[in-house]
Amino acid sequence: MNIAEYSIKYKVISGLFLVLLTLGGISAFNGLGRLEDPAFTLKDALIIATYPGATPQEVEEELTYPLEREIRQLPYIDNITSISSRGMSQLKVSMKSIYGPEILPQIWDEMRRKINDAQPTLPSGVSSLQILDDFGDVFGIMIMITGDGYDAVELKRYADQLRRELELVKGVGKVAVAGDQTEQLFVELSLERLASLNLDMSTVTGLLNQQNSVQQSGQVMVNGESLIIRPSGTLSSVEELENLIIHGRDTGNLIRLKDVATVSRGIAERPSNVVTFNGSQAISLGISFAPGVNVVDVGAHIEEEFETLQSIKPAGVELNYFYNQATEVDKSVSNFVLSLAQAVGIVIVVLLFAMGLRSGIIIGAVLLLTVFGTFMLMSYTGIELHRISLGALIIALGMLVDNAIVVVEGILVGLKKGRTRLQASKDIVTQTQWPLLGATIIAIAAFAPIGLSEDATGEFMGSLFWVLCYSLFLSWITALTLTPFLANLLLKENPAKEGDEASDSEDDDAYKGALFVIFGSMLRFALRFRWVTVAAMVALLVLAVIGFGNVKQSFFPASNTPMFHVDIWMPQGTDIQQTIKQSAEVEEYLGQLDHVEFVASTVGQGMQRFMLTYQPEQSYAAFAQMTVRVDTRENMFALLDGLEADLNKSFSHPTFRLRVMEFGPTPASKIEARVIGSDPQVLRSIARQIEDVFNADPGARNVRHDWRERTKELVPQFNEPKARRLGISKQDLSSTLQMAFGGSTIGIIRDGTHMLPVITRLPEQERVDFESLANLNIWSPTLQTYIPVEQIIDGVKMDWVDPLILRRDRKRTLTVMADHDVLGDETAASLFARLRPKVEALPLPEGYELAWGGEYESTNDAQAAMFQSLPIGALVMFIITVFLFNSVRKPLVIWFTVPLAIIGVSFGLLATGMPFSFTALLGLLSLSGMILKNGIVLMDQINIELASGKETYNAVFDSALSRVRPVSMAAMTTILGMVPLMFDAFFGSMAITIMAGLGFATVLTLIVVPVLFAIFYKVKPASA
Amino acid sequence: MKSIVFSTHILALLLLQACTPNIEHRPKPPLILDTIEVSAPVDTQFRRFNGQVVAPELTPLAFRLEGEIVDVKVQEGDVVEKGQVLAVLDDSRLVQTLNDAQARLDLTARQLERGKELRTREMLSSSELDELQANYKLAVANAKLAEVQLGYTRLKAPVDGIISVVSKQDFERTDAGETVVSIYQSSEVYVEISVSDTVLTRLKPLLSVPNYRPLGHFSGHKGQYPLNYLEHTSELDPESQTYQFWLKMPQVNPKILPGTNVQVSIDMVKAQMGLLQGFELPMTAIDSAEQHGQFRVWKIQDNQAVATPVEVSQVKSNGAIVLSGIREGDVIANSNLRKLRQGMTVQGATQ
Repeated sequence: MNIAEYSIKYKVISGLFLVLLTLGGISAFNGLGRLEDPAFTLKDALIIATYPGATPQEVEEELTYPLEREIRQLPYIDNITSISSRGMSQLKVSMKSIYGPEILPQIWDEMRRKINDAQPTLPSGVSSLQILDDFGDVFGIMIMITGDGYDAVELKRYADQLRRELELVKGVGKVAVAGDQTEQLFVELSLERLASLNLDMSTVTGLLNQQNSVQQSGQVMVNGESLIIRPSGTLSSVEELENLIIHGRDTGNLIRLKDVATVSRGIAERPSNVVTFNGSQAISLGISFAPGVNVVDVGAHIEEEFETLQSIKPAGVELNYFYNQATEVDKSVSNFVLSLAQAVGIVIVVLLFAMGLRSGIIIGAVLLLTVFGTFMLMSYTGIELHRISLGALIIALGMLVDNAIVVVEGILVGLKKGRTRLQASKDIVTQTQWPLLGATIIAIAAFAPIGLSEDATGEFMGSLFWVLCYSLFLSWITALTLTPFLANLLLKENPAKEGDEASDSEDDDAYKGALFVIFGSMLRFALRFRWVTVAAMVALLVLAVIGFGNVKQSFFPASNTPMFHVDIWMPQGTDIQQTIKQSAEVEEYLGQLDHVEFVASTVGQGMQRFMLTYQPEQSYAAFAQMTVRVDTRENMFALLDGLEADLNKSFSHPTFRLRVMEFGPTPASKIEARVIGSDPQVLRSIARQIEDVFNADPGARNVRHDWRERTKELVPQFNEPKARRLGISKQDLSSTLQMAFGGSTIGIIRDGTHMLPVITRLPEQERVDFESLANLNIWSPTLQTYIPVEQIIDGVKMDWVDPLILRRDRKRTLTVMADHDVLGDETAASLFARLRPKVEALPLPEGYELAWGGEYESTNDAQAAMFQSLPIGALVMFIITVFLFNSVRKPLVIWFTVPLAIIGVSFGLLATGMPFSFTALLGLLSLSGMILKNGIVLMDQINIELASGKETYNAVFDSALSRVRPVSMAAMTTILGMVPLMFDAFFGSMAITIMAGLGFATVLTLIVVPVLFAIFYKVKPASA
Repeated sequence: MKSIVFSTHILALLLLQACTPNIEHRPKPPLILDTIEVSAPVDTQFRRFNGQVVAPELTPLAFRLEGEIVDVKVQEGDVVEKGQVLAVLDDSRLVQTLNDAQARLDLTARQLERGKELRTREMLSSSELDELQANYKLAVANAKLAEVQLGYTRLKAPVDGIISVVSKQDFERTDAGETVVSIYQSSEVYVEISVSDTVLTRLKPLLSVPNYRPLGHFSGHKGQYPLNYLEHTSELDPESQTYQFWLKMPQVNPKILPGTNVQVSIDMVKAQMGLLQGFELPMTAIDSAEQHGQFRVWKIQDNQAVATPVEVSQVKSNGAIVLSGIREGDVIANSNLRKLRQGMTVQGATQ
């Protein structure tokens, strides 16, 4: 009793299996976690250390260097990049991609320890050292809180309330706020007034600190009860601060702080990050999800929460969704459900014409049940529905029907031969179960290099492999069990309608007959001129490969979401206030364009990471980024066309860079030439040459380098002998200047949970004007009086400095960047191919090297990782075919047909103008699986025919003919099933790849396999 | 075997690189520059100093005698006329002395008269008369002295002026020479500026320019007033380690009081204080050159960018003063400097 017989006989069990799959599948589908992208841990950490007052070079030498040296000792490091800028060092540490989410926390711990160990050796001026290893969190729902007439502080207060409530919503992971402004307490001390009272600044600041410190002041026992003594006079409000009494020095007079200063609350003058939404100041509230949740549900919960929180919402405050993963996911899941329904429908319709309604229903039902079963397994193994697993399911849709079609076809043939349903089922299952299993395993194995790869690709794409693995195995199981069971229920024995259809290999039916006759004569022709056929194939293949060169290459296609970014770079050294002003103008300009839904901008740094593939820019005062959402994708591209030129015409100071959102990771730029060396001067001159090469190419855009412009600085010439005589140190001068032209923090005032930094600075009229430097007074401890600052400085010089020193793996590295034209036809790869030889021809001085980064590097890395596991995968697949046929030549015959897939793919992509993308590569993999399966089943048929004693030529010919229907049927269902996907941005090129490749390869397989077989086994054509 | 697919894929990529397909490039967005035209050289370059109004000819007044002050007749800020009594010392002892002297004078006068009469009768020797005469003269002198001494108990204003400080109270004792009140002249305003040595050397030429007068702005007073050079110290003030520099002007109405802050603007160009005339350029137009501390600007000549080194002399709130390298009327790029190259053709939009 084989498995088919078993499932037909034990109807109840089979029925139960069916019901289980249906109900279990539906409930599993509803319960599956839903996400946009699979959970993925970024293997990067940021270390931000501040060293106020240090020049970029001092930061590099005294702070960045020791940190890098310590961190580099960790064996897990892939690379360290660092930016040393004025007073700040930002290090990005990337771990090797083989370390997964389980081990990374320990690695970060170890890194923290290393850094802590290094801390005593750091200069004493280093004021903070932050290690961020969670900056890879994805805030899938991002809301912009705006309100007319509300300032950032008030909005932040509301955002904090929201945050408190939202963090309790089930499924919400973290809630983070960005774009908030630090509220500060300004004590504006007039130097004139201080000078007239002969008060030292440090007296005032010292008093502020003393008065405000939290300290124990003892306790006393009274009648056995302990009473705490707490003197009054803590500063907690602006008024109390204003009334702080300062002891005058000489006179002994008591002066209140408000006599020498005005105290006010305000926001920091130079914010680090400002977010606006449609032109009004906003606070962005990012909500990330807990692992494994259904994002759509969480989105709904959050909506509900907003409804209930309506009461605390200040009037006029608006919540605007900047990005809502819930709706995007909902859309993509319902798109998938639609695709599934379409696929099932198409299968039924196609098979209705080819094999009859009942067969169509059986196969359609089996397809559906297999998908349901996959959902159950996904739910069991904790794979969520996201871009990758949905993609896998879509790829699977094309392959799932194959097994069922082979079985149903076999049963139909058996029935026509007059056997009973049971007998026919039993026969076909016995005959094909192992070849089908082999073919299925091969198809799965094709994806193994991607899915089982140990590095980041594996982590990100792992679910692709597993989903394909589950669904294909299930399809094999359902093909052997449920298909015969359903066939037994639905198909009629010796039905009159189909009875004479396949009484033997030579078909009688007129329609089918024509097809078979044409195919038969073609096959006969091909078998006669076998070498001609092979030559023709090779010629076609060569042509296809050459043609492939013209196929557009874009590894990751632009996203479906009609959003694009406009990066704005002001010259380095631009004040953030100026950047804010400029970005407001650009924002207004963009907001007026047609079809624009909203424009959000962030100044100073990137947005919160709202998508896994969005890479927020690090902190630059001269940087702003607009995010524009357009109503549809088509309108977006229409809008983008010409926008760059318009922007350049309208705004002459900033440099613009347009970026569309991509599915894949977007490196800072597509083409990166890294120049490694020590002298900034030389690095810059090499960079200039490379920039010139880039600029000379008509296809290169956004040519720039990451050391940016040199910035100017003012250097008061400190006269040390004079200053020493007056008892003034450089530190005193710096702090006086800081107070005059910046504002120095002298303490903190507690206001509830808020800690307000207290900033002293000069009143506006004394502060803004640089010329007031000459009139600045500085306290001389020796003389106990104020003296003009001019006494200790001999004039002010202007100088320039390299504002950013970037290092990569502890070497100074300047990266020249360029992009391809995102709206043009060219891809980054072809631009790179053109630029590379020209740049490499440039002579480099001794000690300087050139390396390539950007897309070239990331593609290389990805391919290297894939090719590592590829040989084993290929070997396994080949061994399976050898096992199936117990021969080497037969598998070779099958394998030689695989490259033929290229022919169809190449012509298909060229005809439609689709790029060869990442999904197309997946399509190519699944395509080779399908072709192998066709080949295996055909080869199996030849074996059977040979075993039945047929003459070799006839055996080959007849088997090929007998496979025409199932193979073309399977191909047809797959091809038609892909039609709806052709218009999808992400899967479009995959659909084309599979459709064209399969359509072409199917016909060719049916001809080339017999031809190659004939060549390998030297089969002579029979006289017939 | 499976790798065939991939090797062909790679082959395809290689071929892709080998045969460059003809791709229509969209035109690059043009490089548009902001430009500025160099305007006339700046000729009012004010250098500002913070100074303070000091009391002109501030005079401390004291009694020449010691004693108890019975009446201080003025308060700080009072306007007084020359000769007005400001304070009175207890004079009872001096009145006594005066009376005493007066009595002695009367006595000696009478004795002298009598002696003269006796001498005519030859009853007195001439030497005795001489003695009487001397006694009389002595008494006269004593009486005058007592009178003057009594006058010293009245402290009078030596000039028309304003009382600056009253340092003694009624019924307080004072020593001879101890300041009781200070007075200063109200007809003039003196401005004192503390300057460091370097500035002083730069300010010195001011003395020799005949027709230039710096302007002073007094806090709390509208408008600016021309000031005249008065004097300066030639030695460091030991306390503040600065030199003092004084300017003066006639008093105005309302009166400017000592202690008022003054901002003195000196036009360095007009005062011929050695500053070359420069051109004011926005900071954004100045580009860094190769050498440290060197700067350049990009001139646009015949639509071509030309880098020209410049010397930046001074940085001000609204730009930098550039001394050499540019001339009035030059067109200079003010944006996208990093994209410019020597000899590059550009489109300029004059701002």
